[in-house]
Amino acid sequence: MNQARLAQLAALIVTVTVGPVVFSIFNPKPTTEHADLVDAGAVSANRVATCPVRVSPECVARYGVKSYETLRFPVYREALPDGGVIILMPAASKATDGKLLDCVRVKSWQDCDLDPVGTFPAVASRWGNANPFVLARTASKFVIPNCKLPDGGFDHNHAPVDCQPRDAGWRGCSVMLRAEAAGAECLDAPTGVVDYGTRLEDNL
Amino acid sequence: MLTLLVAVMVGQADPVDRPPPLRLGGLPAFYFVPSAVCTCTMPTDARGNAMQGGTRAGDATCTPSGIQTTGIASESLVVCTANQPRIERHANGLVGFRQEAAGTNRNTYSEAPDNAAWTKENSGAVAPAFDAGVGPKLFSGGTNSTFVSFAATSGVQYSDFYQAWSTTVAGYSPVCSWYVRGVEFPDGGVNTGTTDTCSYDGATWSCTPCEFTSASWTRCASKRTTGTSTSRFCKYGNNSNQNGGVARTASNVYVACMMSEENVPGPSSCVPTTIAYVNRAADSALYLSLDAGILKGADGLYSFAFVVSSLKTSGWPIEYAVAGTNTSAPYVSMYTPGANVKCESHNGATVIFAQHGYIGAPDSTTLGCFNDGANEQGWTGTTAFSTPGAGTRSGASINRVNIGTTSAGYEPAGLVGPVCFDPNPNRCRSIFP
Repeated sequence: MNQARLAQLAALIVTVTVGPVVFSIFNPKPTTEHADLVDAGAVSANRVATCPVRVSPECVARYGVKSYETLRFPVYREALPDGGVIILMPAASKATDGKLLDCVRVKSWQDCDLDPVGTFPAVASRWGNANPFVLARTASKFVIPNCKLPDGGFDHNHAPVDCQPRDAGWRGCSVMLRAEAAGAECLDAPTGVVDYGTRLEDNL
Repeated sequence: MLTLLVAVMVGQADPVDRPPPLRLGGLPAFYFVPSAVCTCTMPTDARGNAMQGGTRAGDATCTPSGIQTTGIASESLVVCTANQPRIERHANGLVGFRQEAAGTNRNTYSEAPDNAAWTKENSGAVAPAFDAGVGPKLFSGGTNSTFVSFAATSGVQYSDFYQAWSTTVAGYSPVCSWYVRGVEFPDGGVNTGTTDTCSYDGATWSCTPCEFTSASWTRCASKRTTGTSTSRFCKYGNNSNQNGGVARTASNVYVACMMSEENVPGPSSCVPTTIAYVNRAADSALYLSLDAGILKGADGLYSFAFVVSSLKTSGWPIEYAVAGTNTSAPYVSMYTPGANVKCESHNGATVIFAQHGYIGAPDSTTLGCFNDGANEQGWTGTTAFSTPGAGTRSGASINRVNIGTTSAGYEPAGLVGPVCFDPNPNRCRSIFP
């Protein structure tokens, strides 16, 4: 994709360094149509991202989701001559009331997985869809012991349940990496880091 | 009637109708002196001007006395919600806007050391004992702190609690911090003592003595400047084993806001947690939207000056610049490339003049510069710089000034204020200390 054309169509939202590679994440501008991305060379998605995201308050009600979710969506990836990598988000904002892309903010690109399209072909095919996002709660990298109360509350001092770090004993009702936890009482946790002023307890 | 008349007059103070600054009782065009500490509201100057920007995507903690280490009153910390400014008073007396980069507390249950999320450890000494919710509050309207009793230690003994975490990037250094307050003696006497804050960087332990008093809260911290692999620990309490064998007497204290951070120059403002790590969003750049031409005097002179208090040491310079891609209008900026302050006036992407100086951290420093078309000068404190090489000036007006930036590596960190802008450089300069 031509870099000048990319700058016209999309805005850089963050750069993420993973090992020696710098990933530059671009969001299509509000005025950008999906057809514009296709015209610029991003004809189809070539990766599928699975990421922890924060959903804006107005969109929580609109789409019936929680404030923190794990979403899977198609992206366009392109390697640059300098060794960097461009990741272009789908042009969902224009397709759905001009706001869908604004609903979603990836919490931590370091915690995203980028898979080949062949792994999730149905998601990859949503590159031009009005809503390219798919819930993928079980794909989250995080879990938390089930310390929920019958009334829907959360017991921070719950007795030990069957969800503990593999290499240690009970560590309370805290979020853990899924890869480091084991037990039948582990719940999917959409993220390991929440924003100051929000509660993950309300999003389990 | 008089009150009503004044109110009507104030209400009619449309920026377009604002008289030239030199005719308003000697007030500069923009002279902002923040004073309402931790009210979470944006004050205005004598003309009704307000700083703008300084927005933030989420909550953040305001500490009236700034991010300092001693003399912190109970219930003095305030949670300012998204997009509310944090005005704090630095230990040196300066009052200004708190500007911080994003930060994450990587301890869970920061206010509940008795929770199972914390590992309690002891060897050769009694394990620490906890009594939750019995101590004074650290936050206004917050929860009561937890009482902890650490046993006396010496030699290789320890009595503490800790959490471990993995850094997001291998090699990131750890910073551990917590608030500690001694338990007052029954007769009202002040209880002072020393415990430990210990950090582990993947290879080496480093402990910093934590001297507490029952008269106020003390924020203790331990920082490693290096890091290997990703394994990190923050330990809180008596730890002769890792402090080099220094003996500690038994410590009866209240504790709050245990906080583990990575890759930061020092502890940032408190970020309370429960079941997950919590991220504080970065403060965006402050800016002034000025009436077109308000900084342009009859002689065509532009100037500005302001005071900052920098907590930076190295690598995290404060930058004063136009953020983003605003190249449509001339602007003035001031930033610190390395250890030097640089004043610049831009016309689009062209640097019209530049000055260099030094901000001594953490002291407040008056910074200023002006350009009258023929002479250019900048200063810090009372030291004027020599005039740099000749430049040219566009003659167009300045209508927006950004203070701070979101440029990677140049995030603001410290306090910003007061701010003065006026066509006459001496007017601003004379009112600053």
